[in-house]
Order: sequence, then C-alpha cells, then structure tokens
Amino acid sequence: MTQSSSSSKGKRVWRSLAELAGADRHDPTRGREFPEGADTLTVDPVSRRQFLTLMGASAALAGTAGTGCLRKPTQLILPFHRRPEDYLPGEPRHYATTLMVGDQVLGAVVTSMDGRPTKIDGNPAHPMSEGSSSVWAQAEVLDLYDPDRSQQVLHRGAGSSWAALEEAIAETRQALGAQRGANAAFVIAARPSPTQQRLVRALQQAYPQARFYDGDALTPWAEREAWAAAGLAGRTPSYQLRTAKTIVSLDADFLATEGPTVALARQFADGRRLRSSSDEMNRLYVIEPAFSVTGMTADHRLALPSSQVGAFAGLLLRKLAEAGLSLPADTSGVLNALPEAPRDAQAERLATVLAEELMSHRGASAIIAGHRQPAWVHGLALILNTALGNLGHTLRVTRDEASVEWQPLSALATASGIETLIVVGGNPAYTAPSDSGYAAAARGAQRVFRLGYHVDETSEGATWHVPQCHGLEAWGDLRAADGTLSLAQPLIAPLFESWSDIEFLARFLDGEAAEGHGLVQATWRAWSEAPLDFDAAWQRWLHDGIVRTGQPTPERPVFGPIVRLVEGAERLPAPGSGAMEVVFQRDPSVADGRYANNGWLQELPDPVTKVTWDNAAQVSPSTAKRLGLNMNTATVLGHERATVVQVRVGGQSLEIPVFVTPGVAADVILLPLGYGRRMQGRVAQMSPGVDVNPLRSVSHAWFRAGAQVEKTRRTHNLATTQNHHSMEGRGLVREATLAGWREQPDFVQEHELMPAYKLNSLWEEPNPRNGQQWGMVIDLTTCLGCNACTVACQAENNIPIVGKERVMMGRELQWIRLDRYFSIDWDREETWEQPEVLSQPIACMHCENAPCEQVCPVAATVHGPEGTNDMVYNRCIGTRYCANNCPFKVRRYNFFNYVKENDALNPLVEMQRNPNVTVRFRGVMEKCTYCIQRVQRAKEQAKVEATGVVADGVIKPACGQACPTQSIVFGDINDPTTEVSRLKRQSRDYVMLSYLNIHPRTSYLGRIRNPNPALA
Amino acid sequence: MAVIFPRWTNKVPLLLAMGVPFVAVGAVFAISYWFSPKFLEAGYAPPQPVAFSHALHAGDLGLDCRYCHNTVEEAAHAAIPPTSTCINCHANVRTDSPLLHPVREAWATGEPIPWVKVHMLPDYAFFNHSVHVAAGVGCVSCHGRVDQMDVVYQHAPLSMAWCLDCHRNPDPHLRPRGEVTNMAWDRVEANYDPARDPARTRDLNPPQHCSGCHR
Repeated sequence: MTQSSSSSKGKRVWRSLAELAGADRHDPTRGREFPEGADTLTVDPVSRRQFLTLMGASAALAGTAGTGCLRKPTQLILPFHRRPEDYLPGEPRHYATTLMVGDQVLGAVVTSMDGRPTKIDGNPAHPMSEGSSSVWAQAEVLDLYDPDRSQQVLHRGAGSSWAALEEAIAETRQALGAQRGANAAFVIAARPSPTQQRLVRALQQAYPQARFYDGDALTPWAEREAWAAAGLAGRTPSYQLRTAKTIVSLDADFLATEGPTVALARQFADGRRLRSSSDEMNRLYVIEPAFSVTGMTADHRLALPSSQVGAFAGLLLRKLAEAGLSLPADTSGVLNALPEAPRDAQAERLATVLAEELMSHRGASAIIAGHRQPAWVHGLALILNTALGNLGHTLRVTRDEASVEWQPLSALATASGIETLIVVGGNPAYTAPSDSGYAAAARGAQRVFRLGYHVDETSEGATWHVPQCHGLEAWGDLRAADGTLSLAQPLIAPLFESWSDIEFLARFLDGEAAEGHGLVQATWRAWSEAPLDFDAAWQRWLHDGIVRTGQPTPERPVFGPIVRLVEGAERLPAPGSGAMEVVFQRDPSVADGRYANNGWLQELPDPVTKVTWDNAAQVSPSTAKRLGLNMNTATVLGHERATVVQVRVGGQSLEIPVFVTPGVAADVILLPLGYGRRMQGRVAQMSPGVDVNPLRSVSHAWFRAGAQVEKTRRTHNLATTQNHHSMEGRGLVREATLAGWREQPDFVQEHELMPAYKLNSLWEEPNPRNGQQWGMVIDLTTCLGCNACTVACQAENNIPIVGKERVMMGRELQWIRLDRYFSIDWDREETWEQPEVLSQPIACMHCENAPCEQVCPVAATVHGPEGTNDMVYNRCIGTRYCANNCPFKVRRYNFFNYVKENDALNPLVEMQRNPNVTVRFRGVMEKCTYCIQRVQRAKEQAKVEATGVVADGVIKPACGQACPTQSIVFGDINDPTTEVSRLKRQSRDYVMLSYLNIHPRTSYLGRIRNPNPALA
Repeated sequence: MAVIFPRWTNKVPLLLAMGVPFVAVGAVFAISYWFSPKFLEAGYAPPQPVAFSHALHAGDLGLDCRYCHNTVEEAAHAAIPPTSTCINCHANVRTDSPLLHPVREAWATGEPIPWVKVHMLPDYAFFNHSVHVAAGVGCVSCHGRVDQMDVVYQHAPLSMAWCLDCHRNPDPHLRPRGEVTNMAWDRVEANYDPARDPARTRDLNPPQHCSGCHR
C-alpha cells in the first residue's frame, strides 16, 4: 500500500499532486542530488566564478601584507570581578520561568549560557507542559534577539527621551484623574497574569469612566461569550484528554495552534500510546474546513466549511437525543432552534456513528469547539459535554480569581470621543478587522501611547512609542489554563532599555512600584495567606517555576441563554459554485503575525502545504479545477508556480497565490493570517506574503460567505519543500488500523523487498555491540507533524536560515524534516479529495553500514564506537559525495557562509548560539548528530560521577525533548531495559530501506489508526 | 648545426639524482619539525597584564591549584579566578606592591583584569577538565611544571596527535585522585599502578573517535 510506484489499485501514498499525476517523472532535476543552479550564487549580484576570482585576489593580497605570518591572534580571558557563588563559567544554567507563547501559558525551563538565554524548553514540574514545548515556544528565544525590536522611545516617530516620556505620562495621568478617565481607552493585550489583572482593576477604580479593551488577536472571544452566557464568566475550560476515549474537534486545532496545545497534545498522545496491540487507544474525530495539524492526526475527518460545522454539531446533538441521551432540563427548545443539518451523506453517517460511540463513552469523551466557531457552537459543545457527563471529568472548569471584565476590540467601533488611547502590546492596527473602529479611534485620539515590541503598524500613528521588553527580560506571573499559577523571572536584563506591560501600566497609577519585581511581589504579598515566610516562599516559587496547581471547581452551567444564542444564530448558506466561503487561519508558523520577524518560523515549512516564507491560499483540487487553476503539477523541486487569484468579499478584494491542497472542503478558500507585514522588520519584509486582514469584518472575523474567487493571469513562485529530498516512494511510511495490527502483528514487514537472511555484506559488518549503543525510535502513531522538532533542532544546533530563493533551490538546512504523505484509497472515491495524512520526521538515521562513510575521500564522516555517524566539520572538504550516497537525503550542505549572512542580517543572533556546537563554515556538509554534544556531556558527567554509564532517559536530543507528544525516544539499544529498547521490540517497529542492508539506528513504529469499525 | 645543450648538461641528471634525495629529506624534516605544533605552539608565553608568578604562589607558597582554579573538578573550564580571589589575600598582603597595582585598580573599578589566554584549542575541539581530573590525570601532564614558571608558557603542543597519544595509552599519565594537583608527584617513586588502585572502579575508556572532542 505504500508503493507509490505500483500501478495496481488499492491504497496509495504520495506527497504532491505532481507525484500522484506522475508529472514529476519528466522532471529532469529529479535524478539530481540538488536542483540545477543550486550551487550558483544567483541571489547575490556576484556569481560563483566572480566570487572565486575576488577571493583569490584578496588571498594574494593578504599573503603579501604578511598577515599570514602572524603567530596567532591574542585571546583575552576576562574573569568576573566577584563570581557569584556556585557559578561555573561556561556551564549551562537552567532557570524555571513562565512565558506567554502564542495564546498559551508555558511553564518553561530556559537554558542560559554565561548569561545568554539560548533555549526554551518545557518545565517537567509544570502540569501544563510536562517538559514538552511547541513550535512557537522553541522559536520564542530568537524573538528575544530580534534585531528589529524597538530600541528607543519615539515621539511622533522621532527619537525622544525617557524623561520626556515620563513627563508626558505624568501629565496624562493628571488629566485622566481630573476627568475620572472619561474619553480615555486602554487597549491591552490581555494576559492571564494576576499582576496585570490587579493593575487593570486598579486603573478601573482610578479612572471609572475609562474603557478597557482586549487588544490581543488570539483571545477566544466566542468561547468566552458562550461561557459567560452559561453563567461561567471568569471560568476557563481545562480538558483532561488522558481519560477521554472519544475526542471530537469542531474546527479546533487544539493540538497545534489553539489554546494549551502542549498539555493537550501530551494528554492526547498518552491516550493513544501503544505498548502492545492489546492496548486501547482513543479515537479522534475532526470536523474542519481544511487540514490542520489536528486534522492530520484524526482517525476520522470530515471536511466541512466552517459555517457548516455548527450545523454538524446540531446534527450530532439531535442524533444523541434520538439515541436516548437526556439533555439538561433548561436546554428545552434547543433541538427546535438548531440549524438545518448539512446536506451531506457523509456528515449524516458520521454523526450517526459518532452519536452511538459517544453514548457508550459517557464521561469519557470530549467535544472541543474551535476559536473560529461562533458563540452558539461553543454553547452547543458545552451542552454536549454536560449531557455526556464529561463536565468535571474530561472537562474541568477552573475559576480565574483575578479575572477582569474586558470589552472586545470591536466595541471600539461604537465608542466615540476618545481623546487618550493607551495601547499595550498586541498590534491591533494590523490584526483588527477593517471595521473594528480601531483605526478611526487611533486617528481621532489626541494622544496615543503605545507600548510595543516592534515599531509596527500600530506604532505608526502613535504620539508616543515605548519599547516593550521580551518575556525573558521581565518579571511577571501567569495563570495556565488549568489554573496553575507560576512566576516569570527575567533571564537577562533588557537588551535595550524597555518596559514590561505591567511596568508601563503602573506608570498610569499613583503609588505603584516602578519596577516589575516590586509590582509582582505586591500582588503576591496580598495573595499569600498570613502565616507564611514570604521571602522563603518566593524563592521556592522561583526555583520550582510553579506557585500552586489549579483546582477545578464544580460548576453547573445554565443553558437557557445558550438556547437563545442558538436561536439567534446567523445561518450562513453553504458555499456553492456561485459564492465561495473564505476561512481565515492562524498561521501555524507566524500565528497572527506576531512571529513574522522570526526567521526560523518564516523558513519553517507549513505542516500541510510545506510552503515556506509565504502564505498561500488553499483550495481543494476539484474547486481548483472548476476555477481553472494551476494544479501544482509543474513542480520543479522547490518551485511551485501557483496561480494568483482575486478574492472578493464584502466589498473588499485582494490577490493571493493558491496552493491546491487536498483535504480542503469544496468551495472553501483558506487564507492564512500574519503575512504581508508593512512594518515589523527585515525578516518579515523578506516574505512576499499577502495581508488577508482586509477581508475580515468584526461580525465575520474568521469565516465569511459569499466570496467571489477569480483566476488572474499572474502566477507566483512559492518555495515549497514537499518534493525536496525525494526518496522515490519506496515503502517508507507504513500504517495499519488497530484491528489490522491485531490481526497481522508484523504488518510492517510486508513492505520489505528482501528477506533478512538474504542480506549479506561483502565486508565484515561493523556492528559494535559492546558498551552503550545509541539508537532512536519514532512513534508515527503519536507524531502530529507539528514541526516542533525542526525548530528545536535549529535552536540547539546553530542552524542558519537561507532565505526563500535558496529554499526554492533545495538548499534549506534544517536537519530534521517532516515528510508529509497523503494517502488515498483508489477503491473509495470519497478519499480522492479527502485523503488521510501521514507525517514522518526524518533526520540522519545513523546507519551502522553507513553509505556516506564509504565514499568520503577524507574520512570526514566516520563511525563512532557507540554507533553514531559522526560528522567532522574540520575535515570536510565539501565533495558532497556523502550527500549523493545518502539514501535518506538527510545531509545538508553549506553552499555559502550562511552563518555569516545570518549574522549580517541579525547582529544579535550570535547571542543565541549554543557554544557546545561548532558553527559551520562555507563548504562544509552537516546533518543530524543525535545531539552528540548532549551525549558527550552526559557521558562526561557519568564519568565524573564515577559510574561511567549514562542512565536511561538522561540524554534527550533536542527534538525528543521538545516533542509535544514525546514521540521521539532516544537511548541505549544495547540495554534491553531502556525505554528505546522496549519500544523497538514492538512488532510494528521497522527501519526504512532495510533491503540496502545499512542497519539504520533510527527506527519507526508504524502508524496505527483507530477507525470506528462502523465507518470502515 | 648548432649545439643546443652544452656538454656540462650531461651531468644534470646525475646531480639531480644525487641532490633531490637530500632536498626531499631536508624538506620532510623541516616541515615535520618547524611546522609542527611542537615547535609552533609549545613555548607560547604571552606577557600578562599582571606579573603574577605561579612559581611563587604555587611553588614557594604551596597554594593548591584549586584554590584559584576552583571549577576544575566540576566544569569543562578551569576558570581563571575572579579578582576577588586575589583580594582575599592581597587585601592584607603586599598592599602597596607596585606589581599589584593593576589588581587593586581592577578591584576598585570593577573592571575585569584582561588576562591573555595561553592554552588555546581550536573552536571545534571541546575539552573538559572535570572528566580528566576525575580520571586522575595530573595537571602537570598537560600544563608542565607550572609551579616553576614565573611566566606561564604552553608546555605541550596540544595537537591532536599529542591528545591521542595519551588517549590510546593513558596509563603512564594516571595518578591517584588525591595527587592530581601535586606537581612534584613521581610515579616511579610512588610505585603506582592504576590497575591495582582500589579507588578506580571503572574502565577509563578514553574516547578515540571524532565526536569525543569534535561536536
């Protein structure tokens, strides 16, 4: 089934439409290691030949000047004046803190190298991270070293002084006080921070007539509205997916971009981690308009336009009621108020089967509605969860004791007479829908104070722009979704003089401390119970990275108002050929644009399309055919010549390239947010993406019906990595259903082309079996394809970015990639448009008979005695034979001095580098090392502690540490008691290309799906 | 017809046959000696900002190496001590010595003393002091008789071949853990055999593969 070259019917996996159509057979570049021109410096005005000439000339000059005769440069050692106690210069230190990452609170442990924070990971003691992290958490550290972050106070766009700012704030404070805050509006990127909430409440008391808006674009307003209607204002949901047997996502990407993804991904994976084929696993149903990471992981997925997801939820409720589920008493009338069910045979069938399954898993299921869905759908989800008995079990409710009343930013549209506008964080001028009223309010105000990390679109019209400091530079406190409270401590003094949001807000109050430390302590002194040694407790909180865990509160929602919400819901028509539906997506890389200046995220391939540096709209192949679009079949490696379409909706229009993607609902066009930034910085400027915010409106912020999509004559080259490093469709990904695995325990073996006994080597096989032998196993069942490993690797191993032009040439450097396969069943027509997806992380396999080692003329890649395939950068002369001979295509070549280029682009990025990993120069091959620096460090530690043997679980490579589902396990395969050995003994363990007799050390556990037998 | 080659050119092949071996042998010798780290690296003794004498402190006064380089047992670096370590004693001792002027000034201003690095490894080679100390390799094995140096110089070539010599056969350089910082300890005198040392509980197993040092 995984033989894409087989012409027989049945299951078939493929990576791109071009591959499916067989068009890439004619691609002359396919047989080449790198595409044509990959080694030509076409991006720069200087050609390779010219470059060599110039280099030769300068080398000659250098020789005559005598610089070559100098002995060596003098290096200085500058010791401390007074070294802090227990400080070991050059040794990494780890501090617990808490960070806001996207829209989730992450309990983090930050690695600091001689005072420089270099890496962010999850805090194992924090219940909402358990040591894992996410794409955004891994990339956050690069944001700290953003060269374009705001560095000085600006007054009407010109540099000013802090003293003048303080004076202006004091004046404003007096004016606000005199008017009791009338005509003043605060637009604050609200965070679940007790201190921020305390200050906002103090401001509300000091200026009772001032208005307070939440300016954060990722706030889940619809959910908040529904919960408030149900009498749960100030409460937050905390899903407990470990015990959930059936999980239903209603347009919610809860595994990657929405809410507490790190915790939910971990719990979800724990609910489907298989030790043996007799284990049970949970089942995930996803109803969504286009593939998200959650949809890629689903056991059953239904593509529905976002506008019809609510109708599906209604259908499900109806089916459950028919099946005999007793609904809460005050929901009477809801069944009559429900919208018409989607006219879709598949939806009907899915709802019937799902209702049956939910009935048998009462109290052990979870219905999660997504942020795109309106309040009434969240209300329906709450009814479903309550009626199914999930409340208090898989859905716990916690109360935010410090919660503040916020108005949504859209309420600004009806506000008038705002003279003073104070904007704290966020970027409403870019992220707010065009009719939100923010722009008018900002124009109309006499003075606008703006605290921002970048001088961005919001800062443009501000009277005063104040630099904001990064979360790693500030004191603070945060409350995670499950109510766990923790402190944030600064890892480094602000690189540029700047204030945190609480320091800025405190300036508008009398009698508050000016420093973040004092502000946070004031909050916690008041919160702490009386008989407590506060200073000792404070030290412990900082050390542990956690103050106290959240306690769920028993709640009884009232559903009367929800029924009225459902009754009053706007019924959008299902899209058809005349009017398409536009669905907006939080971009999996740059979110709402907040990470647009982060090079790692810009170059990170989208989990579904594998497009880098751009935002491409997505439509399904059948819709594309109807619109007459280019079907991505002309792929020449990284080039994707995409048709640009014009999208018109609500009187607005824009032009955007389309990437035709299976899995999008018919007549839906998906538009990712966060690109097309006018002002954010030099990295964001390198992205040619399109700002799709103008198409959004307050009432239709996340999907909008009635769109006209027309093909234009323009095309746009997208840089996509999906066909890079092709392994020519051999049986690489292997999957089965849970029932199938039970029936045929060795299903992974059926793809082997050669029986093991026939695999004989001509030479003595160098398979050392003494001492500790390192190996890795990756569980494809729990892998989400979210890319966290890729960014973690980039942060750990000093991997530079190369830019869009070079990605198009196949020169990206990321050591671990996620191969994404679509899988269809020729015999079932419905799967042609709606395939299943398989993700497979691929890094160096550390083959025991490594083909790369045999061809290196200078022994720059050699085998270590513990089974690692080592890369010796200082020996490498750049023949690239090894990359040619690597069957897995995991070797990356420094065609140019990318590190130097990155340093020129970002002079601060040097501070992020890991000093324990060599920085590679031009002309050097590189690849995954199994994080050899961590292995060696652990071994050295073990030797100092006299055992000499590294205990299991001590070494975690960066990818495995970051993996939100802990799908990557590393350890000693020579010891049968280690976790990795236990996993490798499973019958679904396989290695890729075993018939080459190369014995890769990295093996995979075949993907097990858990479809409902009734839907098979 | 004119003679192109004069008569004496007949001797050229003979001269070449006799001369080339000499030149070749000379070149091999010259390169292997003068181009090697033994010549280029060992003996490097840059002037330091403070006329600190290890011969006085470690030799005559008998200070243990770890009094100043106190991170050597726990960390990769045997860190250069902070100014406060100097002042521990020199707040009372020789408070008016002109040689100590830069130290007093650094202490007063809080600026670091700009010591010049003597033992420099390439950036792609990663060395860890703590693991060598734990194995019982004496300071003197790599750093020489620092207790006799007025100005510290590089004793060993610190070349890869030199590292590997010891990693392939560490025994001659091993001593009891307690004698690591003892510069004058003599293996023959102490009649020490690491194989019979009961304190040694594990195989040493020094890495000889690339990633042991290159990461």
